[in-house]
Amino acid sequence: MKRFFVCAMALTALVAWRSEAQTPVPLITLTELEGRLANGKDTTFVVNLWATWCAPCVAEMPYFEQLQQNHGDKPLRVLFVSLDAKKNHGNVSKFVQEKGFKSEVILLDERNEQEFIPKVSTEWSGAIPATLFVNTEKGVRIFKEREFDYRQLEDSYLAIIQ
Amino acid sequence: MKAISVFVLGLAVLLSANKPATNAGYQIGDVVEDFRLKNVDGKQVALADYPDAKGFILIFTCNTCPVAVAYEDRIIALDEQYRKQGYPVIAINPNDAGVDANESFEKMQQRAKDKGFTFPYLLDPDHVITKRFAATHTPHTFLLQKTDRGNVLQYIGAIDNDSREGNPDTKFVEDAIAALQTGGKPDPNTTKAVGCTIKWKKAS
Repeated sequence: MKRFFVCAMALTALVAWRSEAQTPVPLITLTELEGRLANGKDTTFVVNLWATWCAPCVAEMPYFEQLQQNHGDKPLRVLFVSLDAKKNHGNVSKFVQEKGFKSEVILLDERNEQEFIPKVSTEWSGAIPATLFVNTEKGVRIFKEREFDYRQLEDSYLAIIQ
Repeated sequence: MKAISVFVLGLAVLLSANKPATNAGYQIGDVVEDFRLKNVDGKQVALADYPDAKGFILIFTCNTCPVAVAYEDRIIALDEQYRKQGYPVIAINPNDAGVDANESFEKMQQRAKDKGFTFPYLLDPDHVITKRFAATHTPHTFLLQKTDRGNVLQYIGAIDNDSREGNPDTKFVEDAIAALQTGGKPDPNTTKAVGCTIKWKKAS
């Protein structure tokens, strides 16, 4: 019995450790991100710029998940790009794990806001939520500094692919 | 009839989609019109109330944005350092309390009291002044210099170069004031930073 108990304890500890060591959200530089978008061919990327501390961002994330699910048969890729500080990397991974997002989440590994904000879009003030729609084959790059509900998001996506 | 309502709806969607995300607002070098807004102490505050000021550090900030909250101590420090030099801080809350109750006048009073704000913290009902400056997020800073022509906008943007880690090595607003104090112009005169979207009043 005691042995079983120890065994169970060890297993619990292992499970706790495993979830603690849950795959961390990967880091990505803007150059790497742009490279991915440029190589996407006919894929429409919906790049949502968010942060764990941004309440309206967190509120709209389910719509992006829904978009990816409802249009999973098309070349659509929702990317959640976190602007959380790198020192909060652990919190971002934990948050993503708790929310159970199916879309890909990455943390932007850029520190200099004067460089990366205008590179993402000259229209961007730095306010989030903001979303970038990119389809390289169609030559589409649309930036929106705003919140979306599902209907608005889907309409924006459909307008690009139709 | 149904066709008409669908058409009208479509038109409304089209029009709202075409509405520019940012309006022009004041540009660097523009003379800024004075305003009069209610402070957390219940009194009205205008730029004209500061005859001895050489300029103003105008900051759109709020109660709820974590980035803005993280800047509060730095904003207080700015006011303590620069008020004596003729550049007081004036804070304006651009958010609508109808969208987030934590942005109400009472909550602003509470926040100012809890943090010991040394500067006015003003209410901007219906975003009138916010729109005039085309502020887009919190915190968003506009540095004004008093001249014979009026209060001239000399700098727009971030307080410093670290909105996210709180450990800046370049202090844009301080550098901009230093430039003005020595007869120069801020360089850069515009910067960007990650912040929270303004909570705009919902159309009724």
